[in-house]
Amino acid sequence: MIKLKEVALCLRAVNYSDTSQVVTLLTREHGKIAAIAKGARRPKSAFDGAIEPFAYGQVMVMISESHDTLSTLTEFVQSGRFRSLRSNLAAMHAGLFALELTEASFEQSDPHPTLFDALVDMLDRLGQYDKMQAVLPVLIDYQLTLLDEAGVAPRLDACTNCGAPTGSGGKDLYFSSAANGLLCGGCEQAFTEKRRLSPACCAMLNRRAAFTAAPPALLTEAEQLLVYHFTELMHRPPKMAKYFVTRANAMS
Amino acid sequence: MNPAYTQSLNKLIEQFGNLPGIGPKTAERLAFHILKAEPQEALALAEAIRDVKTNIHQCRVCFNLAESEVCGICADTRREHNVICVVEQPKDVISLEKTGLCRWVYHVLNGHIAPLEGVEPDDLTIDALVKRIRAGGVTEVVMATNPNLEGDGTSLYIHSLLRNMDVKVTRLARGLPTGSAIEFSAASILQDAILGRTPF
Repeated sequence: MIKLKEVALCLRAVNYSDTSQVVTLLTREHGKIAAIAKGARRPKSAFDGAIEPFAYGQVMVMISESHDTLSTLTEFVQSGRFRSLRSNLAAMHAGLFALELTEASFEQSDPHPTLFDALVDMLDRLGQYDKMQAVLPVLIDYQLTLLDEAGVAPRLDACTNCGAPTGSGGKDLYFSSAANGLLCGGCEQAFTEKRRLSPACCAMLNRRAAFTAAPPALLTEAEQLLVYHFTELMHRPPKMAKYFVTRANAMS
Repeated sequence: MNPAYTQSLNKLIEQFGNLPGIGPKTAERLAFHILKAEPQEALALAEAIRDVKTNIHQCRVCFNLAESEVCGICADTRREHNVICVVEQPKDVISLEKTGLCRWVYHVLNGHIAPLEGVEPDDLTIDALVKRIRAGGVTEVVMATNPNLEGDGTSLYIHSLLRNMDVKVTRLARGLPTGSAIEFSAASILQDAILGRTPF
C-alpha cells in the first residue's frame, strides 16, 4: 500500500452503506482516485462529516500498489472553500457540470496539475457570481481547458480537414466532433456528423479574453456546441447538460 | 435456501432477509420467533403489514402519509395553514413533529433534485407546492430539506420559483448542536454556525 497525502477535490460521492461512502477524488499530483471512506457518514468521523461534491481539502489515502482495488480514504480535512456554490443555483449547476465532465474525461492515476488548478480556480470564480450570464463564460473557459488537457482540443482557427483559414467570409461554418474541429464550405459535405456554427461564435471561441463581454446569444451557442462535442466524445449526453442548456436558452 | 427447512420457512427467512439491516442469521431468528409465537400474535403482524400496504396512501394536499383523503395534519383546523414547511420525505415530518414546536402544515417533496442521478424537478411534488401557494393564503414557506448538496440545490430551485410570489421563504437554521463542544465540531458545522449567527 502507498500512503498518499495531498490536496484533493471531491468529484463524486456515492453512499455505500448506512455509514460509508465511495468517493471519486481529483488530486493535483496523482490524478483521479476512487476510494472508500469508511464511516464517513457518522457524525464523528475522520472526514469532517459526509463527503460531498465540491469538498476540498487535505486527504490521506491508502492506495493499492496494483491499482486494481479501491483505495481507502483515511482522512479528509475539509476546508469549506467552495461553500458559496451551495447558495446559488446557476453556480452550483455549472460547478456540477464541470465535475461531471472532469470525471468522465480521465482515467484513474492520470495526473493533470494544470487542469486541477484550472478547476479549483473555476469553482472559486463561480462562487462570486449568481447569474447564468456571468457563470457561462467561466464554464465555457473551463470546458475548453478540459478538452485541451484531455488531448482533444478542437481546431477552431482553420478547417480541420484541409487547413484552409475559416476566419473571413461571414458565412456559417460547420463543426464536426469526428473531425475534431471546424469544416470549411468545401469540406463539410464529406462529413455527415456536423453542426452549424456562426462566424461570430467561432471568433469568440478563438479569443478567450472576450468571453466575459460576449452577448448571451453567443455564449449560449458556444455552450450548445460544447455540449454537442462532449456528447459525441462520451457517446451519451452529459447528465447535467439537459438541465443546463435549458437555462442557457432561457438567458439568450 | 436451507434444505433442512420447509419451503414455507425458507420463504419467510428470505422475506425477512430482504428487510434493511437484517442479515441471514437475524432473518432466521425472526422466522423461528414467528414459528414459535401464538397464532394470534403472528397473524396480527401479517395483518398490520397488509393494512399498511392497503390503507396508507399520500395525502391529497401535502403528500404526507394518510389513511384518508387528507392527512391528520392538513385536516387539523387549529394548525397554522398559512405556513408551509417543505420536507423531503414523510419521516422528516415525524422528526419535526416530535419537537412539539411545529404548528405549521407540511409539503412532502418525495425526494430531492439530483441531476447527476437523473432525479429532475418533475419527479417531485414541486408543481403541487407552487399551485398550493398560488391558490393563496400562504405567508411563509419554511425550507426543511436536508443540509446537503442535493437538499440545498432543491431549496434553491424552489426558491427560484417562488421569487416573484408574495410569500416569505425561510429555511431551518444550521450550526452547532446543543450539548456538543466547539473543540470537537467539524469545520463545516462551525462555518455554518459562524455565518448563521443570530442576535443574542
